[in-house]
Amino acid sequence: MNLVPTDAQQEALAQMLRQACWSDAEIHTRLQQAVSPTYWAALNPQLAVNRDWAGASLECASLDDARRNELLNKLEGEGYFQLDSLFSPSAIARMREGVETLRRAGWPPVMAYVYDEFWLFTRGPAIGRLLSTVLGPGYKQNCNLFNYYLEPGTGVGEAPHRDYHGAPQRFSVWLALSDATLDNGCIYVIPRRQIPPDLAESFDQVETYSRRDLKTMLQNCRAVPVPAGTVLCWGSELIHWGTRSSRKAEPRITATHSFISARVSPTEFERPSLDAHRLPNLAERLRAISRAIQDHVESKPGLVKYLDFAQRLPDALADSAANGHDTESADESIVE
Amino acid sequence: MNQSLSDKHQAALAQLLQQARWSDAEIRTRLQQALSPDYWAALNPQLAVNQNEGDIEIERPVSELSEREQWCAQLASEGYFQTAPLIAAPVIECLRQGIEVLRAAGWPPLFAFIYDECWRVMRGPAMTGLLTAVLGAGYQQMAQVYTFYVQAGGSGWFPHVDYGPARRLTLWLALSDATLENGCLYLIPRHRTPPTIAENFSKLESVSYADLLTLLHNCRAVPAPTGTLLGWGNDLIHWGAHARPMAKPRISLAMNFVAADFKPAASDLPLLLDARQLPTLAQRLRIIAHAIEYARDYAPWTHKYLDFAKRLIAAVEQSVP
Repeated sequence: MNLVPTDAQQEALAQMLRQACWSDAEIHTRLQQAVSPTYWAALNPQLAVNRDWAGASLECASLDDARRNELLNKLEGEGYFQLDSLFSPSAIARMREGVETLRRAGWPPVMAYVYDEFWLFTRGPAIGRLLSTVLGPGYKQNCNLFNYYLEPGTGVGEAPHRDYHGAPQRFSVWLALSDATLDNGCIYVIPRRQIPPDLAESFDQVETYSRRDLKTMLQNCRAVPVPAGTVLCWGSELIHWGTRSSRKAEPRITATHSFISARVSPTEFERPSLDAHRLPNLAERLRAISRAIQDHVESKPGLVKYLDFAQRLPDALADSAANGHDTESADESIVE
Repeated sequence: MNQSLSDKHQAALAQLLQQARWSDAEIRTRLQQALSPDYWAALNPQLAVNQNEGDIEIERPVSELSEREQWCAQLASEGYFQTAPLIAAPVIECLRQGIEVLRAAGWPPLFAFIYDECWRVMRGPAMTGLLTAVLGAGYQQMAQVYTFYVQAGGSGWFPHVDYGPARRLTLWLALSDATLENGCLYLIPRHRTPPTIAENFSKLESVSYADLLTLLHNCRAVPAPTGTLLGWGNDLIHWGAHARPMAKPRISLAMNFVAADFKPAASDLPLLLDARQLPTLAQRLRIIAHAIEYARDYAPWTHKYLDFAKRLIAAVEQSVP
């Protein structure tokens, strides 16, 4: 329930948060580790850091034209689609193990984006062709990304929202690294054409909703549980959310990317855009991670623990480069 | 889609509904059939009409105490509970077959309550124990029943709370798998519902954006395999979702129970005072007819049978004073 804490409770909470945050000494150590490709490689040897993939991808299945058209029709009608069995289960297992290892080492799960695989999953031929069809050639990747780790019993997904209202030509790709179930906080959506356009338009734009509108939205919400390895994709206007994880559930682990058409300009929140075809170098990945922590701290208060680290990460990268350490190797992929 | 209809569309729909109603001749035939136990027995020989036999296994064996404790705990904390498949498969199969036969013969699925098995599924030892634990000894059954038959592309009832006293329990039985595809129940667990919303849901004119987000964020899909029972109190927001175009039918029964001290309003049907006895055929017909009238706001198909329902009530009163 939405109880307002007293001043004393707020102070106690602030104190607990301060105690939970990394100390200056720990941040210093973590920054040194973060800018070191060898540290990451040693931590998760089953994953890659700037490997030359020579055109290889994580996809183990192809997408024929009939299936592709079916998905695109569903996107047109419902605002989202689900793509199963595209990736090799072993790749998904390696990625999941990587996230678990990061957590055990005290890192936030979003650090998984230091690894190639967490960029590669949207750079294979099937996803690439879908993105190209939806957004047009030359589409770019937005810098805002996040991965979710919903812990059993306490984890809660994002509240109902649209990714970008009034800003079309965006597309989100969400990958389940674990089964996303009714018990551990799977995604719920309101399929686009299930509710009247004016009601969809008014979502998050007005202060009150009529009884009829409330009932319409409730009755049209749809749970979308998916097995590990499944990709969900949606357009910028889809109303969606993640639910709560129950005590008996397994963790729900996911990774997301967001893309933008070359026909429109990215907002401040989306900049800098990244090349959607090449893998970013380690410095770019770390800058995107730094942004992700800072951008999500309001909706994910637990990230406050890493806020100082995130804020100091760009300077640490600059210092590292000044000292001759190589985090900028591999092709530059920032395009704006 | 739930878009508003123009006046012209509404008039056309009203006309279609009127045309769909049974003719006077058909109503007369149906009334004769409805009052005849032999007719019902011949229509569904695998089901019983007022046989009061106690020798069939209604429930699968359960470790009654531990499971009942879990159901009661979930009911207390979340406002609802869900069992594992509880009702014996042969009973379910006979009922489901019976409902298909009724539909093929042009009867609404609510007429399943003609048959003993519909009443007996809530009178097995596990359910009797649960009802006693929740409502106390001497609990009573309300004369409110419903049979859901949600076809592909159809919908369950819109979001609502069941009215009535605090010590009231709705029991709902899945006669087919209720899945995400065919419009399973969705609900908002009571402890996740803002108190002001839970208490006033049926009277709400509007909600704030914050409350809308809370309600959406906490809604929960509750798929239920065949034979599963769900139960909830009077303040749980719940609804049946939309069935996908190719989905199999979702078939279920619902009944309501209250504590011994509940006094119905003058406008309510009399309670079935001994909830362990099976109602008579006349009581069943009266309850079915009232259920058709009651459901008119929730289920448009009932309009087809409204004239019949009114005349059935009169016919029953005439035949059984």
